Amino acid sequence: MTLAQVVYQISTDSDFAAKMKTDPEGALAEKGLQLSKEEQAFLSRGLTRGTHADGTKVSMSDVASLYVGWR
Amino acid sequence: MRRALFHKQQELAQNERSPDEWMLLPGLSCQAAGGEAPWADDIAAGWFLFYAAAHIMDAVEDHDAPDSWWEQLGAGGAINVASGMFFSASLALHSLDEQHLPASAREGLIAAFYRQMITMCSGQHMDLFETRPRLANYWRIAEKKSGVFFGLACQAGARLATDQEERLEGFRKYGRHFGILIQVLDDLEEWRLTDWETIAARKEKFLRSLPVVYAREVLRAGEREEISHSSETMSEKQGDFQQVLRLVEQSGAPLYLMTEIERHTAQARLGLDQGGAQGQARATLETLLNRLVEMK
Repeated sequence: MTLAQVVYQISTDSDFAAKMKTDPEGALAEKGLQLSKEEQAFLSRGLTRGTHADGTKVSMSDVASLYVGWR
Repeated sequence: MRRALFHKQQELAQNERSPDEWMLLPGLSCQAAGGEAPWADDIAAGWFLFYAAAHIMDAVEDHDAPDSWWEQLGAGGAINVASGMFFSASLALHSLDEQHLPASAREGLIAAFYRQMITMCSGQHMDLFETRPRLANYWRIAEKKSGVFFGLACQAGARLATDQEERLEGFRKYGRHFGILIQVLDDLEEWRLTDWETIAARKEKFLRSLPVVYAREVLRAGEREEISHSSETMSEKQGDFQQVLRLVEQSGAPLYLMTEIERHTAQARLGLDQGGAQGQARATLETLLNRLVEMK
């Protein structure tokens, strides 16, 4: 569940979120968290997709309407 | 069934979107593994009938709004139809062409179907009774309800063209992550609803959706109590519903969902590499995956 914990930290701790952009290994080590390189890559893509062009975060209703899904 | 498969291939070519297109998975997997799609027709028929029957049972158990065809029949009638589908699926599997599969492998494949159906039932049971699952159990349920079953569709199709375990594992992996993605994207349905009264009426499903499960898992103690309390009263008090929404947003659920979608999509693609999937069939398997996670 580390990925979930890291996402929570990024979403609630702006210092941690900033450090994750410049020094992810250091930021994770400070919190005693570990992510594989693969997970860091998924998270990085999630962050890119989860941020609007103006820098604001996407909301749950945005996510729900962004994905077409199969219905 | 062959006619239905042909029509689905036509619809896919015309970019029409429907869960029925998933019945192409066994044939495409067979073809991508080096065989011919029609070899897997019986597997596709059996698999899709099992899928359709399980879908009906799921809808009845969740008290979902009925599909138009069973609106008049009611839940009892729908269960009767589903039961008939289970037996029809079994018959389809038992008519598997031995030309492309030795008798012993055929028996193994049929047994695998039944075992995976049992796993799917246990996932369904967990989903029904574990009303507020922990995050790890959410993923277990998604795996059992859908991942295992879609993995079987692809592995069984590929088995008609190859018996190399490593390759078969790759096709299983593609299907497994494909199936898990369907569960996650299904949960987003609850978040497309906008008015409180509609969501309140579907409270149990909403509270089992991934964003809420994730938030309950990661929130700090005080907020966790708050979301648990507000969840139970959200049907009666709109303010409590708003509180649940606020806590879910605050927890970073949108980012978590998008990251998990990235993870499972990447894993599914790796499965195709591992399976040595090739040709036009591989391209179509990739198209099905891309369409599933396509963003507006």
